[in-house]
Amino acid sequence: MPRADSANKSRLLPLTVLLALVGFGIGLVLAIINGQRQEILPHLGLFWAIGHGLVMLATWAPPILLVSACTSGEFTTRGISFASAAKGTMIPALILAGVFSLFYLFLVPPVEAKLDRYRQTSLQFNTALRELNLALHENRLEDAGRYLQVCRAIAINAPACQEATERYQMAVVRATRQVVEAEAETGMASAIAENTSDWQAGNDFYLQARLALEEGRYFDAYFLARRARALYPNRVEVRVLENLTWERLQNAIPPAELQSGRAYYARKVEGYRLLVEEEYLLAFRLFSILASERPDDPDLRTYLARSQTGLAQTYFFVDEYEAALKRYRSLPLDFNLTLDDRQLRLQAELALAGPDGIFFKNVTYRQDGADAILMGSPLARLTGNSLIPRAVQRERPAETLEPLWQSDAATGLAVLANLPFNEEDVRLVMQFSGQPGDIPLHHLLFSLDEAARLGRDRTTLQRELGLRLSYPFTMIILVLLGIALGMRFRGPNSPGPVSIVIGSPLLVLLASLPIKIFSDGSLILLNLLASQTGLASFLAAWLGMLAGVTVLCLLLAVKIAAASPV
Amino acid sequence: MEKLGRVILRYLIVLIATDGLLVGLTILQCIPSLKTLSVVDWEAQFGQLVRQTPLIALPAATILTCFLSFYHITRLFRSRLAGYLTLGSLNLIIFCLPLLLRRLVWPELFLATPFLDRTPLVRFLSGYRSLLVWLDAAGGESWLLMPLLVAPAAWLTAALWPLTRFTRQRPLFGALLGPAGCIGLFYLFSVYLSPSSNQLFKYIGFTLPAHHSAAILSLMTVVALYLFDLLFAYKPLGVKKETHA
Repeated sequence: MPRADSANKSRLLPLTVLLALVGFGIGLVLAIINGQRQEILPHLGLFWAIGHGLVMLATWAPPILLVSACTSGEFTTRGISFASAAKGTMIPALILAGVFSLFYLFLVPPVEAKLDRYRQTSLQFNTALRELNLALHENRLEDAGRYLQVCRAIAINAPACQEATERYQMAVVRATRQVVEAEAETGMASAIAENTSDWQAGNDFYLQARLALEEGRYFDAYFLARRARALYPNRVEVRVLENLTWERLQNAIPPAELQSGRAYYARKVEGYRLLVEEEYLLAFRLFSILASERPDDPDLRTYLARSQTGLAQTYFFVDEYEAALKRYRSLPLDFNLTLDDRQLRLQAELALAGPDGIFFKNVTYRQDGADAILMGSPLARLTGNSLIPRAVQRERPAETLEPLWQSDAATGLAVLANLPFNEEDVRLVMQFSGQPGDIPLHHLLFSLDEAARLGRDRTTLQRELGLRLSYPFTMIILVLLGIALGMRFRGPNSPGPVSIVIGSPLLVLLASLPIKIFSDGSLILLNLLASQTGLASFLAAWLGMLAGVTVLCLLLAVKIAAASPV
Repeated sequence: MEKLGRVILRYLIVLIATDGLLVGLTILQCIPSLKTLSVVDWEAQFGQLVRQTPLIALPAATILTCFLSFYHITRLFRSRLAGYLTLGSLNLIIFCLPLLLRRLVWPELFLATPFLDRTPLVRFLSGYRSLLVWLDAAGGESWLLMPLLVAPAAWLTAALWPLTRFTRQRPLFGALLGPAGCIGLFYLFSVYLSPSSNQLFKYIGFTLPAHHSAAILSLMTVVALYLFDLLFAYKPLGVKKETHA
């Protein structure tokens, strides 16, 4: 008997590991095939495949453990009782059940969330790339630039993105050339049209230039003389006047460097004035231009930083959103809150929770009541309880994304401050917004009531929690029944290694079908409890029921094993 | 005869228990949809469904009962033919029961009505609706044709018996193949009742209603499973009395 027990121990673990590896391998292969179909980005491909393999392993773990326990039961000595057989097998089987349960409860949800993010990111990239190609085909360069920006934000090094960038740049060069050529053609045409009256027009400019010279307006005089010569270059007195005005101009104004320095200083002063008057966007635009002219000016760096700090109160940079898009999971958001009979609703096509706040794409905010607000914005950021509905391009500060208002009270507000909800509330809702399977267990256990208060469906969340909690019980039940079934359906001889290695994966497939039907059936009871009870009573009822079923299965296992052949 | 009596008795007890279980599950599934737990609300929403569920669930209960009887029959019967006849006949009687009730007592009973989709059986076993459609269509046939069209479904259920006796060397295969086969049976019914299967008969020159072609295909599967039994499955044990270790 002790020999049989030790044999059981030695077979259960290697067989489970073997089957787990097969399950993981199948998941990996399926993920590679599936990844190609879903156009997963190449740099995410490896993580996608491994993640998929892990999820597949978690899905197959119950039948794997059942078959391992069954095979272990097949090796028990004839005439042995269930209790004696279980003694040798139960401890390693329960350890395995525990390992699988921990794996399922704590590792699978974040892995699933990551897979979801990879899927969404790839989808966003591919959609933007398709739109970019269409925009380039239809010569909509502005739209193409926007889509390219999305592609570059997600995967700048992807070959498809680099190729698209080259095509975009070529299209821009082509378009610029066309514009220049068109302008040149227009200029020539107007010159021909005006040729007949050149002398008359040139004379007018000449007379005006002389008048300006007499009045001491040397710059105007020189300009008008040049215009006159351009129109009628053969007139000698015009050339003389041009030279004369140039000499006067040279003597009247300071050298070019000095003039440039003064203009630069004047613009800096103008920027400073804007900064003092808290016109941060205008100041930032001006300082950005000056910084590109003189990047080594320390004053300018200081003012640019100050204007940027001020600007952050009313605007955020689009590249901050793009950086978040690259790193964090995006979800559609529908946040509802009822406060003193006042309805609030924040909806976004995409929401991204980063450390610097929550970014929203195509967001609408509606607030009922006396201070009603209806606002929509292409991009917005929530920090604390302030919603910034404006964004600006850091490299091209002239381009801003502005909100649309449909309420008089709030129109033109720089920031929606002191909102009745804050960043943490939205983060919590976002945690509960995705697939229920992606929500970490601790959130389900400790934040479920709060999430229900913020409008999430309590029944769905409780059902998911119940499903997770049932996993360890399911594993224990399968171990118990597996050992009993192995004993009951023990052959005349113990199965050979070939039969085990080849047969076990087939047995796993066969076992998965009834397990699925039973788990689907148990969902009915779970739904009932989740929909009719609060969290505390739900947990008590569900855990009590699972414990009861486990005891019943233990009794059933004893009965099945008792009918085993002697 | 004593063995036969024990088999029939056990079959009926298990049938009632499984049918009751399926009815219970249907009722439990209906409760979360109720706005209030009042009798009026209940009657308005689920009255008809719950009253008809015992009969709607009967084919599923029959298949489950038949599967649970396989091991019992393997131990009791020595003859394959006796086993097939016993289970096939019992299945046929139970399959025909709702159809007879509809003809004789309860004309408004329709197996394939829209509210069926709310029952757990149809939700979890996608092929179950097809079986009900088949039985419903067969119930509309003449007195002679009705049992002939239902019989292949009943016999096909009984013909899964050799799956549980697949190999003597490793009976565990049979133990897990049996339930998988029973679940697969529902999908098989939906395949046989699908338009593409019916098209197969049209292709070779026979234009038949879908439930007729499904019956013929089922009959062919029954023959194949009998051959499988003769070639691969071990003979039933046929001990005189049930022994428990």
